[in-house]
Amino acid sequence: MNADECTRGCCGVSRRRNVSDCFDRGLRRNRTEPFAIAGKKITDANGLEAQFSLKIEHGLIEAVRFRVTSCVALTAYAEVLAEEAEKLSLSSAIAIAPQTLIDDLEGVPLFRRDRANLAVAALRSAISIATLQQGVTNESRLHLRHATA
Amino acid sequence: MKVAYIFATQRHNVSYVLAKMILPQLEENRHGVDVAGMFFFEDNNFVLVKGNPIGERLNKVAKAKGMLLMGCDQCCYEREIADKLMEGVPIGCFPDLYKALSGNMPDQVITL
Repeated sequence: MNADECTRGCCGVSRRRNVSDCFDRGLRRNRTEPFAIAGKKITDANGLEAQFSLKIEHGLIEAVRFRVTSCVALTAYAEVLAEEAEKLSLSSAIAIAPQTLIDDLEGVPLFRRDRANLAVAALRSAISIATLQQGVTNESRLHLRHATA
Repeated sequence: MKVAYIFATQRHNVSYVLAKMILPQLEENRHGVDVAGMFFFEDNNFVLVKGNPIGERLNKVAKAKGMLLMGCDQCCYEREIADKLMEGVPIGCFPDLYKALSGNMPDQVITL
């Protein structure tokens, strides 16, 4: 079983979106090798780090991976964000706000909710780089088309 | 001497060792040592939930004596009580515990 399959419900138990389960799934995703399109490593005021990487297919986010500091709330928020962003376009994924994660994941104490900002900033960095690369790729195709015309 | 308690095992620890030995002694200022902090693992964290009678007494002593109370964050999230703890009682992992104790270092750590 690979890490992607492992994020689905198993043993007849459907996936739950609570901190503990998202942390477990996030730990597995955290151990996977990053994709080629990777954002900047973002560090927050507490010294926590997050970096997202993306696999893009046909303009959509096919898969998301991340490397984050092993903080429970940060890992859980990063996992929710990864699950939300998959299968979205880059423009839709970049619109996911920290508050969406906070609303989606109940049970995080107030003083830990700032981790959602870090996760979102790291994903947005990866999306920005993917957008740039896509722009370059599209432009290259355009040049190629002109050249062959 | 200054100590820190880590409540790592379950069974009779909180309801007996803490509630009937350590806590009354702290309340009566006859525990014999200063307690820098207490850290709770697994089901022991339920004592930190708002409204728990033992926990409320403990929190009162902790505030009066400047004693740290902290719950293991993973244990609390797993039990879905991380946001239900008493006011001012944080959750954290080992780095948080060490950081919190660094300004009031215990001489001994007692694991119960």
